[in-house]
Amino acid sequence: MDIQNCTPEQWYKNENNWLEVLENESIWNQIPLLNVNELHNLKDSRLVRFRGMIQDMHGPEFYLEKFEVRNEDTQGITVKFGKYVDICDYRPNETVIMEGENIRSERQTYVAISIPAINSWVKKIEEERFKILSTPTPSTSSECIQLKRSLEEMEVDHTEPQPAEQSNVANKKQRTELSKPETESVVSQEHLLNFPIPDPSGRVCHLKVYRNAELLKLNSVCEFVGFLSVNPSLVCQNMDEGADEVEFQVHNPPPSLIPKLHCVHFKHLPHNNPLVNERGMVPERMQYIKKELLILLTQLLFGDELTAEYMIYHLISEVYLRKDFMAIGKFSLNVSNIPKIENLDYVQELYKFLTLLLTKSHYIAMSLENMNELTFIPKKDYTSNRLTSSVLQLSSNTHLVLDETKLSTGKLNETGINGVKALANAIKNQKTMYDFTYYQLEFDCDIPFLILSEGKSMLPSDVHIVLEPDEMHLNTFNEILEAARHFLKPDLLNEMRLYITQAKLTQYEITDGIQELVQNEFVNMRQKGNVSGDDLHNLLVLARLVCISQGKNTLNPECWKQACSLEEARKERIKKTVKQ
Amino acid sequence: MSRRDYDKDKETLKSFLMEYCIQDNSGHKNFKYSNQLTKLAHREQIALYLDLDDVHDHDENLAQAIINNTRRYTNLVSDVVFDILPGFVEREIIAKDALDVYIEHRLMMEQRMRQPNEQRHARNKFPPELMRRYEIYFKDMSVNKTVPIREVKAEHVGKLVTVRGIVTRCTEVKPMMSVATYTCDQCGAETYQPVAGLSFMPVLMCPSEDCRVNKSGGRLYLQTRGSKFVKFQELKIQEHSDQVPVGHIPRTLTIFCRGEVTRQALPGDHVAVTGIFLPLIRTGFKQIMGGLLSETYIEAHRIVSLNKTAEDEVSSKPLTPEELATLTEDDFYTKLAMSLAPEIYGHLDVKKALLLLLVGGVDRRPDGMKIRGNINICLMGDPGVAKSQLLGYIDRLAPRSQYTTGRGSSGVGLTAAVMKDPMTGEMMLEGGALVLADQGVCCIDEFDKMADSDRTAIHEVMEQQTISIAKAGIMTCLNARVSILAAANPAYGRYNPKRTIEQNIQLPAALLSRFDLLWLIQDKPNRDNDLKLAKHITYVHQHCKQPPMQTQALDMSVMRKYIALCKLKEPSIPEELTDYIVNAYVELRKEARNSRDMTFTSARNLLGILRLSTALARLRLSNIVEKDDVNEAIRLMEMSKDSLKQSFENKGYRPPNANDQIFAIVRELAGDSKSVKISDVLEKCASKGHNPDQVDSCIEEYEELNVWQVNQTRTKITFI
Repeated sequence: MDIQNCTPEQWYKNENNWLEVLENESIWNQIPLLNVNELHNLKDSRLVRFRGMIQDMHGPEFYLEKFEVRNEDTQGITVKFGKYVDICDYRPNETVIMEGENIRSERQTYVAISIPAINSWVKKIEEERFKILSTPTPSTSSECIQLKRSLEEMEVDHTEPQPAEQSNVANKKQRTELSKPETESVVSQEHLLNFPIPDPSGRVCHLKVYRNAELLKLNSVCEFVGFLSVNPSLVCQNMDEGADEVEFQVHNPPPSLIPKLHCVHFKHLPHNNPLVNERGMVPERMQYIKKELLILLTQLLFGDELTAEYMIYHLISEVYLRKDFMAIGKFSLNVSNIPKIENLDYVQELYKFLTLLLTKSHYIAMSLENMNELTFIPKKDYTSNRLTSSVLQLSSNTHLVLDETKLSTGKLNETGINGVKALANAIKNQKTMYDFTYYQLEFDCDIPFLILSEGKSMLPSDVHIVLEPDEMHLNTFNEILEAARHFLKPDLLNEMRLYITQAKLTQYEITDGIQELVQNEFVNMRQKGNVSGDDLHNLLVLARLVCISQGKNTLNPECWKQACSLEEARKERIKKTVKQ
Repeated sequence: MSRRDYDKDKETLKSFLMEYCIQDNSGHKNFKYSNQLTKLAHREQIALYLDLDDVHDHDENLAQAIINNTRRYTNLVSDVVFDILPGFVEREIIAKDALDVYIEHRLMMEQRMRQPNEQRHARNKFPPELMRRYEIYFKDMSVNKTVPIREVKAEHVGKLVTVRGIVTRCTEVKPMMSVATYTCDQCGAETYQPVAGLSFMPVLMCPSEDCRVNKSGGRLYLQTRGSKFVKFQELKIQEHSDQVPVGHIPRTLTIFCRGEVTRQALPGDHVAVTGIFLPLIRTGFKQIMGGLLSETYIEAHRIVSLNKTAEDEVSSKPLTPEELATLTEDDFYTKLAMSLAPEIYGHLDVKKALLLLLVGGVDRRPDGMKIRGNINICLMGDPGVAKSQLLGYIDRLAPRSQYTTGRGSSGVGLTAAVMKDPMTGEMMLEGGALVLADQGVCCIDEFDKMADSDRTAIHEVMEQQTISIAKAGIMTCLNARVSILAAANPAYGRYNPKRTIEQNIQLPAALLSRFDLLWLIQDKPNRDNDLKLAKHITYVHQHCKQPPMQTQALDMSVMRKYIALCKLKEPSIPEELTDYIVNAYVELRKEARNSRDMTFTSARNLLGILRLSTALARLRLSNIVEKDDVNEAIRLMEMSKDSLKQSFENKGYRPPNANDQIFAIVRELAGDSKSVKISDVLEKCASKGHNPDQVDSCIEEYEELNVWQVNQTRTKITFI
């Protein structure tokens, strides 16, 4: 069974077998990855893979899974299948027998976009692994699509000779398409693509999901396997009613821009780090890498080891439990007292290093213009009947770096205020209220926020730490940057990347003995001073992070003690600044 | 499945329409449908609603058959009505519009032109749609549940379904051709073409006998006046937020409304739509895909605007016996209270108070005077004691509620604003949070941070439950029957026990007294509680789930239903309890005077007790207030006062008790001299409301402390 040449009909007739074949990882990886390959290198109605995030969900579609067709000339009846395809190949002289033995089924249409805010090194590794290098020799079969590029290219490609075999109906349509280059289009390409963060190499896919669609949640990241559908006859002419035109175009975009994928199988991706393998990392190695990472971050944070330590914990944090209101495990960090360095945008420089380490991250300069112009909350657009994406629609574990040093005094307008509110809500509850005009709907998110500010940030944070820059480091920061770049040898860098993901994947538990200890300590702390339940939550989260950062999976007294002393040191600093 | 005998059904329907009647109390028979038919015959009514409940009474199978194949039965009923309608004409029908005249003329023409040997019915040639001026609709059976939009699937095609949602989009009402009428330019004959879909292909050649025989090739021209149009509107509805599974986008559904069903809803309305779920037949290009794919819509039969979604929900889904059983267990009061915001640990009394706020007391309006039944509560406390979380929970639980923060809302934003319409220039009233929360709860967070001028706007609402507007030429009074739940932070970050509440939260007494209950939630270290809290938190972190509780928290929807059920009760206070309440109040007053407390005890407290006790009676689903209710109400009030007092004791400060007060009096009497007569002291103290026993104990206490000495005869006090 050749998975690469499997057709929708073959799949439909032998579904279970094919699914078993897919279980094999090496076969799974043989399927071309849509993310890194050009559409013209892929074949229509063949299996492709796509890694993406569910961005929107359209309504269900009713289709004929199996139906009978009568040939008007011969009066013969044949059975056809409508699953996993957009267009059935019945000829003009054939008609569907509506009252025949048809199976009518339902499928869901989702919109998937390539994972937003993915960092370039991840993309590069994926490309190296999965890019089809040699462009296949131009086949003469009509399955191969010649002209499937983005729209602009289509216009340039006018002169490309059309193979003679392709003079079928589909092709005629395509030519008419070419001769009048999308003048009627009322919606721009950016509008159709609808990324939360503009991404030039990003891709959008309309997914048709046949099974287990309810397992797919908004913003979840999955790898989908499905039949690609880029048949040019899907390019629809505009329809009769003017009012619905926008909606129609949004839901039926040109397949060259947004291909359709008839999903046969998908699996959730717990992470998107291509470096993770089965071998993993032994705790000793993790401790070593942690030290190296600490050295790097200490230097980058002007010799402040405490902040560097907290930074590591921030990088490996994620929400691991949700309970009613609370999201436990969130560890949004506010580093204040960021110094200004001449001729250098410190935050940008720091962020550059973070992008090297993290798989997904995004930087937002919180300048007044940015705040007033960016929309943070995704909004349902009822004219085109879709969810308009915005910055806060991110998949889990996408680090968001907010640069408050860029903020100047001025007036926030309504969008700005809503933006700040949305950010505060996301930090506090790890939830975003999507705007459906008539009501708001809550969606969980898991975005670690790093807020860099001069004074204490105006946004809330779980942990606020005051940076204590070292004078010498301040003066020689340029050299430090140079040295840091030097320090990051490719192998070490890769290990650091692996370390961060590996730490997140660590299974963690608290034993009863430790639980007792923690309880008693807490009661003592209460007696001594002003400690609340939230502080205990924070301490437990920090203790967990200390623990997993060392590759351990059970909490021990040392980790707990370390967490306590870290917190003490941090609080001491805050007190000191308040006094000043 | 055997085919249904439609002819038989037709007969059944006919007898149903003619004979169905309801007997009212006086035994008078009310022929529900034949009365309507008479109206239809005289063109006084257009829509005929067939209640499937009635059909069910008449013939059980038929109702089910109608639900399963509604389209067909709509036509069947239409035919039946058409047949029997002439029998209902009692007087001459006045033609109402051009179409009526046309119909009349057509019938007359037909009659005149009919050949004597031709034995066919006059109307046969006309398409039935053209001649019928009524519309047939079905009303779904009341036992049928509404189908969530998400659950409307392929198996519902062709069936009558009832869905619920929010209207997100509606087109203008447009005329849609239902029968196109053409005249031929050669022979003058009229040709009719019924239109079923959204578009139609005009007929060009005349199909009449004349033209066909003569091959004259007569051209047809569309006659706008002779054609029949129906009103047409397209709606889109979207799922309610509570029907959307976590992590999914709400689904939408297209609704087509024709005729009388149009103009029933506007965007933003909550509606229940009964209609037939049908696939949409597209023409032209779309048909290429149409073989495979079909869009769907609901052909509306009935659209009901739901103002209060929750109330309607209760009536459609009453509490199941099991749910009621758990609710009527012992100690259900505590259980209900515990189920409020289960994630917040402790604060049982506060939760009990909030439960009563949700249930509310009984409104009284004796002779124009209006005494509110809504309970207002103010939560105060140090930062980070879950006040906002409690508010948030109540906001989610209450069927009608508004959540605002003091800083984010102005007085205008809370009450009502007069706005100028940019299009017409007219003045319009726009309701604020308090108006929108009418008959519900308005949660105001950060109450202390509101500007004073804005806060005064609430005074009226809190007692009179109305909002009076007199601005920009608009003078009106809006209802704002809301319970206010406010949360305030102490003025100086933390509650300072040495100051009064007024100083602590910087709210005027006028406003504070309008709150029935004031709670101070404090965060104090306490070994046992701390350990419990620590256990709770570590458990969550250890096991990744909520620790098992003694009482399982009730589901939010169950709570909602129960509270709605409670609200139906109107308990009254029996005669014999009035004395008890009066005594209790007098006692409270006395105590307040004696202890010179920091809160206010006024007539408003008496009303507060009444409100709380009626709410408690409601909670028991009882119609009479009992003594226990009153006791509990007083206890809650006491507890709320205690929560304010407690803080004094814990910080080593007591409110001036009787001893201190008496000591102060003695001091005052003594003045510069060293000794005071006890008789003077007794006299003075009596005027201040202290009895002789208290004075004696005070004297003894201070004697022991060696503050003063009392002479042998106990008539004189001498300071040392």
